[in-house]
Amino acid sequence: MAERVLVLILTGIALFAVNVSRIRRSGRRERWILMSFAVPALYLSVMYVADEDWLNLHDLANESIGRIAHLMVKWFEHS
Amino acid sequence: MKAPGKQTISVGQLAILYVSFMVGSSVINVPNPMIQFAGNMAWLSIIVSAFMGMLLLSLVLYLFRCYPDDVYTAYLNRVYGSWIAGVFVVLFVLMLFLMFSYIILDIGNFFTNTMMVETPAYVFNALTIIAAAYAVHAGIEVMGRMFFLLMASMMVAVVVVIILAIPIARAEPLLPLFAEGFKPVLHGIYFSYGFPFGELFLFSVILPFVRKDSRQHAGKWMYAMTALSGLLLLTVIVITLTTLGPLAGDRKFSLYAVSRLIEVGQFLLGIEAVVGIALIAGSFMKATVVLFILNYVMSRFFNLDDDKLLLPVISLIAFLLSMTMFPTESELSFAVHVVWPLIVVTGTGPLILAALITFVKRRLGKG
Repeated sequence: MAERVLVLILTGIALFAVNVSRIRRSGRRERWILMSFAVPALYLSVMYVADEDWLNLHDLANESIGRIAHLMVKWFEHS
Repeated sequence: MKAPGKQTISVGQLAILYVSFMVGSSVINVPNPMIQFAGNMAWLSIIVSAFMGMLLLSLVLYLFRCYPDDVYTAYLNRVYGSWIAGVFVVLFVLMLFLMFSYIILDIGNFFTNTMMVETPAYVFNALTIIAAAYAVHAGIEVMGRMFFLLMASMMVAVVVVIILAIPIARAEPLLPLFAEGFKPVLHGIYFSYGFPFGELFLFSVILPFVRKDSRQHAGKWMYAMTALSGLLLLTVIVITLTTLGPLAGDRKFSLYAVSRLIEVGQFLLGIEAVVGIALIAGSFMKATVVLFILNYVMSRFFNLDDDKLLLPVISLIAFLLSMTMFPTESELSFAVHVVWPLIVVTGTGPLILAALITFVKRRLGKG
């Protein structure tokens, strides 16, 4: 767990390092938009740190379009 | 990052970005599943997919001629209105997040399966995303210039492997033709149209960055680069089939597996390490182009003045997605080989419909 937290912090620092001044300069609207991204980022961070297999973006694809894709591929394989 | 028109690329740089996007990760990831699905007829599947890709490209270029200064999302707005276009853009963004994460996962998987099996995947995922984010931060002009060298090194590695593998190639594995009927070929077309040929519609976002004085040549270059990508993939598939024979469908990262067989005299062997790094440079380029598109589309969607503001948070989310999405490799395989092609086919729907609507409107004199 500690390893994952460290990876997350280091990656975050490396990514945000060049943007700190931009965030400081940004207006209220921009900050709200940034805050809205904090929700999925936080959800995924907890999921990563806790090593849990919760609902994810690919599940959305698999459960919707994935069913049709699966049927198509089954048909291709049935020769 | 400036708006299209302020930050520009030449048509040559567009070609470099385009070919790196088309063959970047596909040259290493496409041949093995293609051979698994279509067997020794995989070459036919790739040819058909390349032609289908060219048809899609003609629609992309038609819309670019109709709306030369609008990016993809802007002309979706014009054609469908802001609400429907908004829904399409949200789905497009989700697709880009998936795509970017899959490419990053592929890079991590390649390293942990072949060259650095003891190193944790997060090392590769994090480093690739950080490098891609900094490249996007530098802008599309810098990417266009930088990718020339990376693309050249990758092409040299691929061509060297192909040439050195010719002496160990045998023609017999290419026969018999259509041994299992036509369905495996259709399966190969389904997969290779989704990855990489259908993905070319993402370049609708990049095209308005081309300098106005050289735009008339953009179409020719893109057709030529699509043909080159198809030819390169075709050659890699044929060389994989003819060198690995019946094992071709079982060996992951085909070109890397072929390079391990190469031995010239007693002095030139073990070239797979160099080849592996060159191939990964290709995946990195594709990841960078996708991150650029993702960041640009989101900035336009939120109508931000500063286009770099969202870049770190987008990159962080993509990193977390790449680390949390697939507990097992078979799930990634299902997502990429089965689901992803249909996502791409669906993703091209709004563009194809927009081209049709624009065409009809223009015919009726309303466009």
